[in-house]
Parts: sequence; C-alpha cells; structure tokens
Amino acid sequence: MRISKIALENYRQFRKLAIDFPQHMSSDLHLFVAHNGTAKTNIINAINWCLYGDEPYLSGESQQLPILNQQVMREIGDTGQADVIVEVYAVVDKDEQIMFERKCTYVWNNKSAPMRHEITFRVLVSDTKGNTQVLVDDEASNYVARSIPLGIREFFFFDGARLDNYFKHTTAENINSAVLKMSQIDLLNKVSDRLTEVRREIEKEVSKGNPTIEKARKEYEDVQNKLEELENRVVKEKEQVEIAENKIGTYEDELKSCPNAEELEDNRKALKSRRVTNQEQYDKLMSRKCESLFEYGRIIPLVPALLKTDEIIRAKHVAGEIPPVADVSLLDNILATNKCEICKRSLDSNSREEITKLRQLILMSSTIGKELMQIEGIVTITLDRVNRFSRDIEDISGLISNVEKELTQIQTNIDSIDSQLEGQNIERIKNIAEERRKFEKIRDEKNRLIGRFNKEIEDKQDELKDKEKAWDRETKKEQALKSLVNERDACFRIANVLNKCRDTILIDTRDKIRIKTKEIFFSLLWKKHTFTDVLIEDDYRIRVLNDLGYDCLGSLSSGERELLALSFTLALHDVSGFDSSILIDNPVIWLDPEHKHNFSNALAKVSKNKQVILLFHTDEYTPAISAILDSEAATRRRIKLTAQEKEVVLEVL
Amino acid sequence: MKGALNPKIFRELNKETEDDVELRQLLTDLLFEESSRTGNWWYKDFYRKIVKAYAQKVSAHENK
Repeated sequence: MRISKIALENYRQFRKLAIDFPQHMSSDLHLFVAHNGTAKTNIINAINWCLYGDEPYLSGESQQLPILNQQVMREIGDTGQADVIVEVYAVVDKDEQIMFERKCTYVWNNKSAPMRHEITFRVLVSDTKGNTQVLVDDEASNYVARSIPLGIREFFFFDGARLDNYFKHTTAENINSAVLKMSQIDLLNKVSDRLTEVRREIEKEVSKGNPTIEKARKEYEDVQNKLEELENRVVKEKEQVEIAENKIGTYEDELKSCPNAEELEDNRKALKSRRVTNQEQYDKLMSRKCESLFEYGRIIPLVPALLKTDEIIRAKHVAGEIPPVADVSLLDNILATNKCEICKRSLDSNSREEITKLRQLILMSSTIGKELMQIEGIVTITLDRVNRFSRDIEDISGLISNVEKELTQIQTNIDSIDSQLEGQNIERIKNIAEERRKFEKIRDEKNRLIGRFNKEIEDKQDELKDKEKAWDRETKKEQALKSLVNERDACFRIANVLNKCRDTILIDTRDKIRIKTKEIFFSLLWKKHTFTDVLIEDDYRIRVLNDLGYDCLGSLSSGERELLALSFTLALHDVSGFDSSILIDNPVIWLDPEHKHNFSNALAKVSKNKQVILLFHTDEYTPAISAILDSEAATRRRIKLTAQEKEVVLEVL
Repeated sequence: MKGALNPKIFRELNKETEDDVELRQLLTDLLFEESSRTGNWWYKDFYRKIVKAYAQKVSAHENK
C-alpha cells in the first residue's frame, strides 16, 4: 500500500492543503524540508490521527490543544462550527483505491473554547471498475486493523530523533509480534488456530457421535444368531417328531391286530382288586347279620315281660304316680308333736296308728315309683331294638345281595378278559405298547419344545426388527461419523500444510531479516572492523557481535543504534513482504556526515521498491544529502508558514 | 485486498500443495477470507463448510 495523496483541512497548522505523492519512474522517494515549528512532524501526526485517531508524535503540551486550526478558531467567533478533516488516499496493488477519512466538528456556543464532537471515520474502497465500498465506524477501523495494524506502526512511521531508544522501547516480543504481523505469519497462525478450533469441535461431535455403533451391530448379530439357532432347533425337533410319529405309526399298525393286552390286563387287575374288596365287604355284612340274629335270639323271650312293664309304667304315668309326689314330713311332724297341725288337738292312739300306717303306705308307693322310673329307659330302648331288628336284617340282606351280584359280575368280566387274552403274546404286545408310549412321550415333548421355540422365534423376530432399526439408525450415524472423521482428518492435513508453510516462512524470514539487517547495517556503518556479525535469536532479540565475538548491543552509540534500528526496519520491510510506505521524521538527525551519506544512499535504494517519505529538518538536509537524494526524489517540497504564521504552505524545491 | 497478502505465503503454499490443487485453493480461500474479514462470528460456519467440501472431494478421490 502506498500513499498517493494526503488532504488536510483545518488540521492544526494546515488550513487547507493537499499533498500529492506521484510515483517517479525509477523511485518512490518524497522529501519534505522544514524549519522547527513548521508542522513537519504534524504530517505524520495527521496520518496517524486519520488512521488511528491519535497523534503519537506530539509533545505533551500540544496534545492539550484542539486540533482545529487556530486561524479558523479566530474567524468563527462566538457561534458557529468548523470541521477538521484529514484524508489519506492510498493505492493497493494498483487496482484498489482507498480513501481513509477522519472528520470532527467543533462547535462554538458562546463559550471561549469550542467543543469537539461528532468524530466520524470512514474508508472508501474503490476497484478499477469504479465500484466503491463505503465502510464506516467499526467496519472502517477493522479495515485499518487488517491492512495497516496499529501495533506495528512504529515499523513504518518513524521519528528518527527517537530511534536511539528503538531497541530499548521495543522489546523482542514486540518485534516478534511485528514480524509475525508484517510477514502475515500471524494470519497463518490465525487460520491454523481456527482450524484447530474447528477440528476440536468436529472431534467433540465424533466422540459423542456414535459410540454404540459396534454395540448395536453386535446386538443385531446376536439376535440374528439366536434366531437362526432357534430355527435350526425347530427343524431338528420337527425331524425328531417325524421320526417319533413314524415309530408310533409302526407300533400302532402292529397293535391293530392285537387285543389291547395291557388295558385288558389292567382291567383284569382292577377287577380282581375290586373282587377282593367286595368279598371283604360281603364277609363283614354276613358277620353283622349273624351278630344281629344272635342278639335278637337273646332278647326275644323277654319281650312279653317288657311289654307288660311298659304298660304298667304308662298306666302309672297316666295315674300320676310316677314320679311320686307325696310329702311325708307333715305326717312326721304330727307324729313328733302328737298334735294335729290343722285342729291343734292331741292325737289319740287310733289316730296315731292310722297316721303311722298312712305314712308307711306313702313311703312304699314312692319306692316302687322310683324303681319303675329307673327301668323305664331300659325297657323303652330294648323294645326299640326289638322293633328295629327286622329292618336291620332286611337292610343287611339287601346289601349282601348287591355285593353278591357285583361279585358275580366281576367274575364274569374277569372270565371275559381271560378269554380275550387266551393265546396272545402278552409280553410282546406290552413291549410294543410301551415303545409306542415312549415315542408318544418323545413326540409330545418335542412338540412342546417346538411350540416354545416358535414363541421364542416370534419374540426374536420382533427383537431382530428393533435391533435392525437401531442398527440402521446407528449405521446412518456412522456414515455421518465417517464424514466427520474425514473432516477432522482434512483439518489435520490443512493445518499441517499451513504449519509447515508457517515454519518455513518464519525461519526463512528471520534468517533473511538477519542477513538483510547485517547487510544494510554494515553498508551504513563507518566502522568496518569493530563489528563482525548481527544475530537475531528465535525470539527476535537482536545481538551485534564485536570482533571478539561478544554481544555489544548495549555499548552501541546513539548513531549506531539508529543505524541498526533503521537497518532492521528496512530489512523487515524488505523481507516480510509487508506492503506499506515508510515515513521517517528527522531520518539522519543523529548521524555523522559519513553515516548520513551512507544512510541516504540506503534510503534511495529502498525507495526503488517502496514508497519512502522523508521529513528533514533544514539542518539535516545538507548539500551532501541533497546530492544523493534529489536526483532520486519524485517530489521535493519545503514546508513553510505563511506570513501570519497561522497556516502552512508547500513550496516545491 | 488480495494484493495485501504476502506473496511468500503463496509461494510456500504452492510448494507444499504441489500435488493437491484442491488444498491449495482451500488455503487460498481461507487466507483471503481471513484477511478481508474481522471478528469471530463468521469463521466457524465458513471453515466447517470449506473443510467439509474439501473432505468430500478427498473422499471421492480416494474412492475412485
């Protein structure tokens, strides 16, 4: 990027001034010469203010003053407003025109000092086809940050008067950072870092993408294997069933011509068992019948007496003699007191005898009654048994008859079975039946197994469908996963290439800067034997070795340090590929005549490939310098104040 | 702003990607995009898109 024009309006000593920087055929060198106090340094300040919004080369006092031109301040009076505008025009690669414009407005409001407000900054980017992009505020600042970063401005805007402090103020870290920026290695780093970020993001997705794919596939295969195993088992079991059924069929054919010996035998066995039971029952019934007849034989002679007794008892019950109710205590009292209880007269001997007889009769009647009551129950029970006896005998006889019939039937059946089995090979028939039963058992067992397996197969088929779906889902995820893995690998590959480029450029840049710095430094230096080498460490610490091989940077004179700084900066520009102009205020102010001569030659050389703008103090711009630079300069101008000393004008030299 | 990129970077990229034109183009695109954009909001989508496209091309090439 080279500056093609600077336009200043109401900026400090510049009332309205446009400075063009036309390119010379053979070089791009521009010279300004000025006395002290003629706003020479403010040209660099104006550019800085326009681009970055600050003025780094002002003294502390100057920074307190408004940037508005003082003549304008006087002309405006108590009310009104005025704009300060600085425009920097630049060209990038010959096909992009850029205009940076910063503007601020000062307003008077009946106050002694104007108030500054409304600072605006914009960048207009135009291409060769006439398309213009207008960037404002943050966008404009970002554009500046990308193209001419504030952090490295000290490598293209110099104050030669301060260059002796260059290595004191600018640490190796800053230089390193500047090199990275100027050679755009930081851009490679940025891309590399962002690729790493993107790669990590992809890795996160990969890691949580599909850890269960293998599990899902294995689960599907397990179920599928299990299903196949079950189906094979069903086939085998069915084969077994078929074999069993064939066997059963064979045995059934054999048994068709044979009586069911086993069943018959079982029946016969059951019949015999029943016969034993019935015989036992028959014997018991006969025994009961005999016992009943024997008992009846003992009781039967007593029946008439029992009937008579029963009749008497009934009669006594009817007569109220049973139970006995007479109370002899009254008679006992009369006999004891010998006096009638009713008429209270004494008893005579007849009365006493009559009462005694009456008492004995009552007592005798009562004793008979009690005895009758005692036998009444036995008589009744015995007569009941007599009455029940015939029924019992009938019942027992009936039961005996039934058992006899059943025993006859059982014997008939046994005889029938015996006749059926007569002449048959019972053992063989039984063996065949046993074999058939065995195979029927096998068949039934196998059929149960087949049923169970079929149920399991149904379940497994459902499970397999689920597993297949799950696997399908995981497979789809896996495909996405593969893409992610490819993307991750791509990130690695891209970053590797990028980092290789970066490392190569870093090493190459540092080495070239070292060689170039040494070359320029030794070409500018008048001492040809004191210093032997210039080294640049990995972290961009600069070392100058003396003829004994020691680092002597700390003992360099101011002039030597300035030469080293300029050499380093020129080398940096030359090597880094950073495309910007170099502006140097007071470029040779501290240098001896010999160094001024050499340094001017170096700048003239640099200006053949890069725009160089030099702001000389009048005393700096000696005839010797003029002799070297004038012929190379595209423009040569003197900065001077007008007669009123309120405005700067340019005069072509 | 294409002229603002350090030509050395492209020289090295060309060397490193001699046999991979796609990668060279991808890196060129990334560098131009980075040099012409600011902020962080845009880069993830852009990078993912460009990396994905490159990965697909590489994968397709490998499957040939």
